[in-house]
Amino acid sequence: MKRKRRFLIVIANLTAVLTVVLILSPLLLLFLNAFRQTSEILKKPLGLPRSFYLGNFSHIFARTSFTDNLKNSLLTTIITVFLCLCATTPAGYVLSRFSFIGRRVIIIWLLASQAFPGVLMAVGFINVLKSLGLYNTLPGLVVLYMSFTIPFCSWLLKGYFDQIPISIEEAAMIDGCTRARAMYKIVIPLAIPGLIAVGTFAFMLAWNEFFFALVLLQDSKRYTLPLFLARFLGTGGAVEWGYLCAASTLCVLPPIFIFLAFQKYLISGLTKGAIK
Amino acid sequence: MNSFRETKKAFPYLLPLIIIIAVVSVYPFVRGVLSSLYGSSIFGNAERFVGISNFKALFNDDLFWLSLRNNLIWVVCCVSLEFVFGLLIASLLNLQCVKMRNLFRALVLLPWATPPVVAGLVWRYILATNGPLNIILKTTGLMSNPPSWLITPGYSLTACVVVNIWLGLPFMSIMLLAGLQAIPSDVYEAARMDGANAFQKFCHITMPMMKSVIAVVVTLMCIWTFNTFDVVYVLTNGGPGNSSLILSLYGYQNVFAYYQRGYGASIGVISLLILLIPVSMYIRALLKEVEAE
Repeated sequence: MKRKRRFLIVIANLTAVLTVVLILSPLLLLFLNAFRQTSEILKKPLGLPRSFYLGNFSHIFARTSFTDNLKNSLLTTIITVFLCLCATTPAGYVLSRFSFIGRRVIIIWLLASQAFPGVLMAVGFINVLKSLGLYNTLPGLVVLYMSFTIPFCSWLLKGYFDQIPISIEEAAMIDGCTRARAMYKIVIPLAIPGLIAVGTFAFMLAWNEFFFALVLLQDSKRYTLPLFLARFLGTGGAVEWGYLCAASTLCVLPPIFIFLAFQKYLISGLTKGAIK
Repeated sequence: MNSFRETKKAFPYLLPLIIIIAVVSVYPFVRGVLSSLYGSSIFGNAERFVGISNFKALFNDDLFWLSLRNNLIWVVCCVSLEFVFGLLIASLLNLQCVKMRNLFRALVLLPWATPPVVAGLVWRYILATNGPLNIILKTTGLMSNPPSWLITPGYSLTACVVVNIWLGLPFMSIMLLAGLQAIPSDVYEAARMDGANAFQKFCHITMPMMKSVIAVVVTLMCIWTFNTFDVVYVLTNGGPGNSSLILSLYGYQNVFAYYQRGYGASIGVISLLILLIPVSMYIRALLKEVEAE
């Protein structure tokens, strides 16, 4: 019995290790190929880098619009995250604390908007953005990104605010604190883990987004990184895997770092707030 | 409770939300839906009202039916396999005896942070005719003559499904893991005392207690998967010969490649109508808790 149990433990651990390796292998392959020349990658698809070759990186920085596109991605993402936090904090608060008329309708809209097809939103947006002069601009892209980050993040934060006992702010308000001050001084500091969760979520959504960028941005200087990668892949002829893997590596590292740093908050925010 | 007074008090906090939602969500949504009733006229850019003729045309469009069929296969395969594998991974990471569970959990989640375009790129390389996967299949003798996964009509959609599962599995696993962890251990203890075996425990404790989590996660995944665009665009762009064309892609092609804006929007409207089923289930599952407060 005891031996059988020991055997099962070994099997479980081995399976776990194998699962992790299997799931991570595509990313590992990507990182390794970033340091190999295209000809080498094509000759030996599974080989290891022979030396610490940085030619791919210097090429994409020197010869392509990568630097501009990286800046665009950073700028769009940071502004989206910032605006999303500014908008969803009061939104989550009001949804959590008040039972106003129309609350149900707003919540249903927020949840239902997850299902809005991108094509429909793009068609609805494009004429407006054109008439505002925001077509083919990064501010226009930020507006599009707000359309899908704000609804879900408001819902997520509402769930987080629900966890904070209402009695804390009521006590402060009895002591003569206004509601706005109570929210600012008491509720928001307590909700910081939730705000981090929302920020991480919005960061990943905005950084990884492709469809709206594809639809809105027309010239290569204004591309974001996913769009740069897709265009680079699809320019016809032989694919320059070395360059592409180097650029992809740089594109995947920021969200992975953010994710590893804040995943604790993200997961608890999602499980407490949005899913339960 | 005076809900009118309550509304007045809530108003200053509510106003920014209402304005933002109206501008970035309601307005474009309504415009998008309305434009499905318009068609491009032969005179320049002006659009004219055509009623439901876009939908009538869709009804007779073989490509629409093909992409709808592909889309349903896509959602069912992706979500059901994600659920099965997600549950396996969650159960594995929930075992006390697995060392370094926290590290494994963090690593298993990494595909979630990966941009879908990057995932598509990497997998396009892995699945290429002479790519790593086929080399492994050949050298291990599993397949002497493996196909070119992405450019063979019978395999292209399956290949896309595999890649999308890779991307979606982390979210599914972690949500199911949270559900598993929320089950109090004394319930299992009691079942063990009564002599229940692992299978009985799974059927009579795990599944019933996870019901609400599963309902929310699965419906949410169905919604997200239904509208996926980026993975398929990068991997196959619907090809070869439309064998992996899905609705989001077909809608995109109509609006931005063939300049049939109304026609493309009507594809979006149909998607939305189909999605009403999972969306209403999703909202109902979540609102139950809101109302319980």
